[in-house]
Amino acid sequence: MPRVSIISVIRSEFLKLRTLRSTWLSFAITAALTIGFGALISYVTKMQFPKMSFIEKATFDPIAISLVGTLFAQFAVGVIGALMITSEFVSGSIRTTLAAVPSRMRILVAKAAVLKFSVLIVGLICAFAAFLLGQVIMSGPGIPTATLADANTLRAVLLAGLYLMLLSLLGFGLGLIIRQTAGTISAFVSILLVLPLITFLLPAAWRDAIAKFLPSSLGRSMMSAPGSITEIPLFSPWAATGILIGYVVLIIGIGAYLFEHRDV
Amino acid sequence: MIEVQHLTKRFGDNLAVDDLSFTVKPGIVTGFLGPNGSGKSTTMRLILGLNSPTSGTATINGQRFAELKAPLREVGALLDAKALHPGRSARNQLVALALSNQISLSRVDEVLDIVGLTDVANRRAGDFSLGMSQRLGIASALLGDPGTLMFDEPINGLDPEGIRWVRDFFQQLADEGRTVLVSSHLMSEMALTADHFIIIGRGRMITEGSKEELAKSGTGSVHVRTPLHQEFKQLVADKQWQMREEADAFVIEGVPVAEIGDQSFAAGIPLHELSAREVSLEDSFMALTAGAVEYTGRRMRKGKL
Repeated sequence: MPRVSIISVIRSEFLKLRTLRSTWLSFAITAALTIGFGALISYVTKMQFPKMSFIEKATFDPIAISLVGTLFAQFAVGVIGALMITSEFVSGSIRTTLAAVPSRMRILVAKAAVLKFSVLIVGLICAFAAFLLGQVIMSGPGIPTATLADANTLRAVLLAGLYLMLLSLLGFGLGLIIRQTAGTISAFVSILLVLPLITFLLPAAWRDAIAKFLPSSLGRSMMSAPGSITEIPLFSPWAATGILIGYVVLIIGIGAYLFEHRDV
Repeated sequence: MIEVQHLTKRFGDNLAVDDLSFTVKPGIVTGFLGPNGSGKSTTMRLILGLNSPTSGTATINGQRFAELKAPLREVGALLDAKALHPGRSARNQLVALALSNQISLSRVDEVLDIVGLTDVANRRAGDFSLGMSQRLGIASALLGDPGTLMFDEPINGLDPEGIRWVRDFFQQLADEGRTVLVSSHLMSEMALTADHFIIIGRGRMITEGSKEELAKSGTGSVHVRTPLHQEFKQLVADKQWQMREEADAFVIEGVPVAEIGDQSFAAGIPLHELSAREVSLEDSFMALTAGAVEYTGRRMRKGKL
């Protein structure tokens, strides 16, 4: 007799994700921000390059510049992740979902898998497009550009896609805990925008010790050439990736515990 | 078959469900009645494992809901017709449920046809009226062709044609040997829909029984019309009958018709009407739950709010 399996629940959740307009809209915004902003900033940088100081030229990172759009797109993928779960709580359809699949962990694993897969694919496509377009725009006499043949460059572009995926999972985890769309998105924006602002009000020594742990700083490190000089110290790309994965596991872990034990 | 044993659910200080025990049998429509806030929806959520009980158990065919291998094939539930994503089409709401339980997609079209939503299947569910949403909710409950069905307030928002359809439909499901539990806060609706009644108030069992058993628990009343108001009131006072005045008649509770007729004749009071009114199920329900109503409105005085 046919029964509920993880595969059948994943198929169900995938259908749910792709039959919503908000999903397509958010993915379109993700692409527009990653590729569009990357192209725009690349162009502006190219125009300014001749006027740059010696230090600015020495620290010039064509990889980070072409991928800067991901730091805007992170909000769009965070919304996709948050909505994946909060829309069910807000509408009450989580009850219909759980009346069809009583195992809450199965629902959670299926939703996270569908989200991960979708955002990773879209994120990678956008990151590669933004990188390649950015290099084409920036190429000109005297301006250094990067190529995917370089292992470090390839790493930065791949991690940009991974960064978007991890941020969507962060939004998902916050949604599991907070269960309301507005509250979840506020929390998400606070972590990414407000926390960095607060750290810049701190004394320099404190700031340098704390700021590198912020998700936005981890993202910068993941998407930069190694050893680039920045105004705050950053972790190495792989350490940053590990720490960000740790955050996501922690938040989703708390969310999973609450989801398993709370009434719906 | 649904079995609920000593089920208790506490939310903080509030005892939403208080030591509730009952059995819902297959082959009949069971009405689950109680005033607003009496714990009907919470009980249904406890049966479906959506809320965890403080104590007690609820089982379906002897198994806890969480243990069912293909839940939609055993239990179909309509909990809240509006609890769906407004942006998804009616058909896709059902397809998502069907996929999760490996139900064939041809069954989706079948249930859409049963509830009469085939023509609007591709419209956004958020644009549906409450009545259409109820039909969609009923369709999702039927999806797995389950032996046990639960409907929470399914009649709300249906038009008269829909109410008649749903009544006949529930009866048909029961005649096929299924277990059918239907909740409502309106006895007038359920009197025509259900065969057996479970009545709760403030989370506690008030009574359980068939239509006939419930009707017996209320007392009948007698309507009297007479041109001699003063004389009749005097007679009622002398005999110490319980009486209230309605617009055009006196209503006496708990006195046999013959007794009222004989005494009026003896007192020389002509009667223009003397009729016994059978107690309605609604009257019994009101009498039974009078002490358990959570929210009571007051009667408006003329011209004043």
